[in-house]
Amino acid sequence: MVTSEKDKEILEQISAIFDGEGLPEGRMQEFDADQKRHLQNWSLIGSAMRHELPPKVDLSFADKVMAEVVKTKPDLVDQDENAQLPVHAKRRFLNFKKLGLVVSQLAVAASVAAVTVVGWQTYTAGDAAELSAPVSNASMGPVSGLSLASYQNDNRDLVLNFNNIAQHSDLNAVEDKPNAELLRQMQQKELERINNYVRGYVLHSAAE
Amino acid sequence: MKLRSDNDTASSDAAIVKRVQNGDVQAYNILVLRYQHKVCEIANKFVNNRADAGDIAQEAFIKAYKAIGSFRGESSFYTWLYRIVVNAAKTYLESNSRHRYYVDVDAPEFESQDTQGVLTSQESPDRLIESEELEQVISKALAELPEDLRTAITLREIEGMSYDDIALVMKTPIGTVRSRIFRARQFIEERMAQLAEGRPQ
Repeated sequence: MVTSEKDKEILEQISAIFDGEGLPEGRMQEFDADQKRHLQNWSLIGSAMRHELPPKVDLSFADKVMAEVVKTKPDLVDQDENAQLPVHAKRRFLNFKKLGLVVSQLAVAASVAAVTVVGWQTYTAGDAAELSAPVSNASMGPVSGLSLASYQNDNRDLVLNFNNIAQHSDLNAVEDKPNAELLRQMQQKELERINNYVRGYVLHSAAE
Repeated sequence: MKLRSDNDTASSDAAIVKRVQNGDVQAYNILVLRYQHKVCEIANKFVNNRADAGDIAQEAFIKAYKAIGSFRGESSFYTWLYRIVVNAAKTYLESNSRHRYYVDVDAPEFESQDTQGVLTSQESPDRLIESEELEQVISKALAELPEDLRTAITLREIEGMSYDDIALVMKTPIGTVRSRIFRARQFIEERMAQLAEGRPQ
């Protein structure tokens, strides 16, 4: 039975909670043995008043159910998938989604830019080659004569030449003008070689 | 004044269900305590066996807890729970009809039944109480209650009214309603304790 005013006050609160009134702010604490006994009695009183009692009542029924319930995890089957996540996890998921969207947009933009640059280069290179000088049969040449490996070897030499020029320009500023001219010529030559290679590759592919 | 007894019970259930859905396990204890006797009776109507009805009721409460996330409040919690109990009882009956020829009635776990289908052994007999005598004690205690306490608890337990509505009906502050209901319960509990001690007044 109730022993003190404080116990009485707590029990009055629990009596209200049992009726779904004045529910506490946070999560409910597990009721102690004495509180459980009172709750069981109030359950019996209510059921008896409504004539809902079975002929014999198992007083340990609620305890047995709760012993199983605390070991059970509820399945939130019909709820929205995201709704099951705690708030911080949901926020993290949304941030990740936003980041993914931005990255994918950047990837698409980069791809489009790359295609545009390559397309533009090919288009302008073709025009430049037509305008500058007629392409000789030798330079167009049989495609087989210009392998990718040989092109790469030539290119490596050119890179070395460019490096030499760069070193010269660093060491001797007086020779800047001739070096710049030489560099421009080599770049032009290189551009022609690339265009010839690409054209030859296209023709070869078309022939196949 | 329009009273909303059914709605009041349902809304007070809904508040508790919401808490359970938010992970408050102990709140589910209130729902179990509220409906335990009703659920056991429903199960017993299907299987006509108190022990099995208890098992079915227990299973139904656990199933309801597991699926509480899918309860959207389109019906009352009790209606939803009722369907779960009925399904559990039907599953039990189907399973039982398949296995009925394999039940060994001499097995120690087989619980004997008296002629009225009341459990008589195995299930911790000290925790079982006879409800007929209990109902008499409670009914007598109610009659002995001061009128204000009796009205308050009757409006709550039989009419299912909220404290707000009881306060309106009784023209008293809500705190008084809360206190009256608690005092009524205390008074009846004392009479129940006397029954348990074997010295009724």
